[in-house]
Amino acid sequence: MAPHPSTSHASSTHTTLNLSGMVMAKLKPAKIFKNAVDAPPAPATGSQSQKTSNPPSRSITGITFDDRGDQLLTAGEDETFKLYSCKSGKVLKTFYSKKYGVDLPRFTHKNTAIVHASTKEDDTVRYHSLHDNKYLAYFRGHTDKVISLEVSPIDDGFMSGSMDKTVRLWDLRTPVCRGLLKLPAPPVVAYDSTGMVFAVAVNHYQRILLYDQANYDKAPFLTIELNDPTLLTISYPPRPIYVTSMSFSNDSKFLLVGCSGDTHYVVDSFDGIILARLEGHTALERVSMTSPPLIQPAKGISGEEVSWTPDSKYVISGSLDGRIFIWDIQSLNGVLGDERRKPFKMLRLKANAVLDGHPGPSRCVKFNPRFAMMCTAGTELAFWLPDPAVDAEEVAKDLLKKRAS
Amino acid sequence: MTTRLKKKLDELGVNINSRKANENFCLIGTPLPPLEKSKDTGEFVPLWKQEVRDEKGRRRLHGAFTGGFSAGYFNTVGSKEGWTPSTFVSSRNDRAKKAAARPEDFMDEEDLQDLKEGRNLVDTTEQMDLLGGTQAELLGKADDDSEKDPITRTLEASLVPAPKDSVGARILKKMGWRLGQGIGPRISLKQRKLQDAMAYDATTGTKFLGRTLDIPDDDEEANKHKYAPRDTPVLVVKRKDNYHGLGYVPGMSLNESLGDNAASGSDSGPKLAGGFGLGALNDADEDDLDVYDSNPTSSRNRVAYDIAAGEDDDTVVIGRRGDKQKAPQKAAATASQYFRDGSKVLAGFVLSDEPVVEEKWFPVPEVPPGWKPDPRRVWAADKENRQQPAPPPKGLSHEEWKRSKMSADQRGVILGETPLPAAPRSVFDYMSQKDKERIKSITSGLKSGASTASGESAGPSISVTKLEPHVAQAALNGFQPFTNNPAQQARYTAYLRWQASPDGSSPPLERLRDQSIDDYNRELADYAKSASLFKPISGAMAGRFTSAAVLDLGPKINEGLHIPTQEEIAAKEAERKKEEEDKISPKEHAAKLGMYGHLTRETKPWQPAKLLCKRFGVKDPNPEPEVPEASASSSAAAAAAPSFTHPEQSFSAGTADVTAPVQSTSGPRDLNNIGLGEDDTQGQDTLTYERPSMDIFKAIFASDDEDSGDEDGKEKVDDDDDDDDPSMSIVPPPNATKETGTGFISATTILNDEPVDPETFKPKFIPREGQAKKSKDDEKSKAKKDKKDKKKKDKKSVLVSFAMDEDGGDDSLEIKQSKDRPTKKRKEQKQSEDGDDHGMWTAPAATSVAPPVEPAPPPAKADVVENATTNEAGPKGRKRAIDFM
Repeated sequence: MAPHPSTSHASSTHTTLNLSGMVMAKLKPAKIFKNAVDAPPAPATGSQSQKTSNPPSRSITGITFDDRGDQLLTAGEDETFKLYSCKSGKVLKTFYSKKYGVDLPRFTHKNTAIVHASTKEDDTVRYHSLHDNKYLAYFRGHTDKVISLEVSPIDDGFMSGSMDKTVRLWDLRTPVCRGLLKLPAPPVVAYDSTGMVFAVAVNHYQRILLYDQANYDKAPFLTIELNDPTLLTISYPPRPIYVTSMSFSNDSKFLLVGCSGDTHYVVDSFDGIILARLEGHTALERVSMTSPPLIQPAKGISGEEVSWTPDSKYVISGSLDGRIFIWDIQSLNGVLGDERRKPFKMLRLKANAVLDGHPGPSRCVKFNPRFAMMCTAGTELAFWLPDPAVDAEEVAKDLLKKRAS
Repeated sequence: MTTRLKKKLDELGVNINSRKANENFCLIGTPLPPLEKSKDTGEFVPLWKQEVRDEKGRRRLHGAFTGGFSAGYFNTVGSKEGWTPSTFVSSRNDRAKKAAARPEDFMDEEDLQDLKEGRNLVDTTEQMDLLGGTQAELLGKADDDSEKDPITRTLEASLVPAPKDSVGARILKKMGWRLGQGIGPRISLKQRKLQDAMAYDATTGTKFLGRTLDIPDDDEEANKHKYAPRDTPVLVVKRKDNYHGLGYVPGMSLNESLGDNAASGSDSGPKLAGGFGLGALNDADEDDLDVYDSNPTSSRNRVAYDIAAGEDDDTVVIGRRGDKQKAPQKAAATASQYFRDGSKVLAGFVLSDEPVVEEKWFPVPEVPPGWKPDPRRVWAADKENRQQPAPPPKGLSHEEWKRSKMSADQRGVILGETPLPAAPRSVFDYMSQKDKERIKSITSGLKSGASTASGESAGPSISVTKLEPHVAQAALNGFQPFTNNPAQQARYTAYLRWQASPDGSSPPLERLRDQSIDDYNRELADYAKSASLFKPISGAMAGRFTSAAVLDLGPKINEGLHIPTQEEIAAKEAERKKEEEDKISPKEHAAKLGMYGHLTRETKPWQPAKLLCKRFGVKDPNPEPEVPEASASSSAAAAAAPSFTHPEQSFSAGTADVTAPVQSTSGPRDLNNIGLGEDDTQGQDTLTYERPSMDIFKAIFASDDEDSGDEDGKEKVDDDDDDDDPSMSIVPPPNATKETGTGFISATTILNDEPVDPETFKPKFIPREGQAKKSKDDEKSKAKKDKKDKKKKDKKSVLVSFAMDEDGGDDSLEIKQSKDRPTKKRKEQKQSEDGDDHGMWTAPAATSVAPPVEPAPPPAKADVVENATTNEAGPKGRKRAIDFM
């Protein structure tokens, strides 16, 4: 199930590279786009004044890889979205969505079409064709900001969660929503990798509801309760967990719950047991390091900062201080043992590797689904590649082997 | 001053005697200009009047710098046309014309002058010295520059002006110093010779073999003169920038490394005169050799201002050159050399001029007759020699030695030295006699404890090391140092007991039979020492430490290479086997014995996770908890945590007055009812929120949304009317109001995140079908509707959606209209509800809704559909699920 990501630097010969702890720790920023957001070509006067008023707050808010891992799309606060080639590390196209703003970009299964949420005008989800820079469809319905958007991994369905406390199920082929879920709190949604199941997190209730895609009008077949006993040791009442993102691992065993607080959680997707809390990074619920700590948990700029590697072995996350944290999740395989229902004590995982990253907060961290390439973004965009020095050793080993044979 | 004026002034009140009044106002003649016109007269000048002018009298620091208005064009940096940044000029065509801007372009006169002055500063004092270094150095270098042929060198010398010596050198020269001489007063020949003899090469540290004064000692004339002192070579330490060992020169042949420098000229071939090429096939001929070229490897040591003087010495130079001249000639001759026997000498080899020195043999000394070898004698002699310095120690202890010798003071007195004026006095000198005595007594008391030390050394008599009783007692309770050796430990405790009882109640520690007195004494001393060492810490520190139970000194170590005996190996083997046996489970045991079957198998109940079932699209084999509970709809079910039988109830819990108390009583104690004591209903009247009538809300929040909600309510009424139920017509209003009420409440729950009970919270998606039409309506008619409406429409929408699901559930994406709509009106209503495109709060089951709703008489049809919704586990619901798949 887990695809072997291949190195992109050997473009002609696609060698596969196993992501090991060493490789992950030796990721190096290979390409940095300093002006990824400011969009120098011909900014409108309005946006210019906006820029001058608060230049540091402008950053990339969302990134998405296409299915083949060849292209990357970033959405920034400058109301542009840019298409990058992952192979050449260059900007392919820049699109402007000055009218609607752009947030939560997601590639559909066609690599020239995306869906994205809006930041201005209304809260419509828009279906955009990168090929001819046209909007193909608008998906109207949400009455407040869309905070979570996911495309089904197997078909044209997608799902959006909004601040209006509804989840809507859509299909790219029809402009009206297929299903609607009303919740008492803003939801966060995620598809699992098989596309058969999706999860909806309800923030204030610290619950994750798992629905069957085929029977989505039925009650959730599994309800996961996010109870972190360690929070109770810190304060009473315990600080609520504020879920800002969710994603299933590619092997579908785990559910990664990204929070705006100082922890992310890895949950066993079958039994809903919290396996581990990932610690070390600085929470993104504050917008900057200088702002005072919040009393109530808030979304802040969190949401896109944590993700899996395609082999489901590592979780990578950004941090408010700009560093990139990498946790090794392999140890969680089989921790539950055979009798899965027995009480399990949550592990506390510290980051296995910390990479120095962005000057500002690293808001978006994603791993390429097919190549050994990581992409991080804050006020600037960075492409990370494994250090070839690691490969040198392997090359030497190979040579030795060859000689021996 | 006239009297009249005085009078007048007096009248005016001016003091006539003041200086001002006496001032003369008449000015006679033209005043001379002030002496220092431009200079600061010390007068106070206000800031705005102060001016800064440059040497040409132009005003500086004006305009913008001083806050004036003269800068630029009306206080701007631009001109009348405004400030124009340098315009873009295409450099495409006249790329060559584009002049690079120099820093000077942006400098004003002052800057330029500064620059000029700065440049002048560089070499106003120093004269040009292109090649660096002084003349002497240059000359020295010239010798080194072996790779430069003489022509280049002469050219260089002629082109480049003669370098000048430094100021110091010039001063020295004026004082009579010349190159090659040392600095200092002149000395006699003898002294000079001595200096030469003492001279060392600074770089190598070896005896200096270079230039010395070549004057015979007995030269009378020479003795009459005085000579300049020897020049001390400057130690030039070459920077070490490689990783070779000290003194190692890379690429040096073995010969060279042995110090045979002379033969190791860098050039293997003969030195040829420059300027004339040599054919590739031609051998160097004698004519081609550069006779005048001095050997570059002559003397490499660099001496400050020396070499010129050295070269002055004619004899030396000529002699050397002569030598060098010979060498190449010899080399040239090698080609045609023959051994004496006529065979040709191999290429690259040279016949030696010097005859082979025959080894000299000396006759063996004659052994005197009767001599016998006696090595012992030799050894003895050798030993004597070696032990010559040994005697002095002679077993004298330091104290004895001290006693035997006189003190420094005594010696001083004998020698008649005056005693040092302020001998360092000890503190004791300042003490009174009484204090001294006291200290003495104290010290003697201290010494008594360890007094045995000296006694021990005296002889092999038993001397019991005494221990203070309290110390011994403490040590008894303290750390036991000899736990590893029980026998020793026993003796140790015995000793301590003995010491702890000064009255002699405990028996003294006896000497072991085979123990010498010395050993015994030592043992006792050891015990005393360890007792004082390991006695427990007293006072505040005592509580902070715990003593280790066992002093673990690690496993017993066998010295040397340990070869285990056969028995040991066998024992270990057996042990290991036993361990393995223990480890093997009965199952493995059975497998070992080959009894595969039920003994080696294991059965465990397995239940697939729900997610697994979903992923594989398999029906959950045991959906036990849900189905029965859903059908049960009992109060017990409400207590069960994950049940979603009463979600509606839970939603309305905070709002519907009736249900709330029921829940709170039945529910477990949680955060919500903490503080209420045992009485859950306590304070309920205050907590229970009485909903004001709808009118009040309308009055306050009257808006489209409310209206629409109202309309919906009306619709509902209409709907009910449709059903032609006579009782309906009466009941609906309360029903409708109630529904609007709940709808409103649910909205508040949504908005305020209020009382959704997470335990029973199981929201469901509403499949939204038939949206095609709706979407059309959507754009047209539907303004945004508030969430408040949704709740109210909930039940209905549930009904509707389900009804529709049955129709077109499969292809939800298609624009399909269900055929069997009950009535047209219903359809319209449905559409309007769908059309608003809002979430319906499909709280999963209508069961909870049933209590409030059911008493009211809803339309029969609706009832049926409602039932369908209530038990989703019912056949219809199931079918639908399958349909979806």
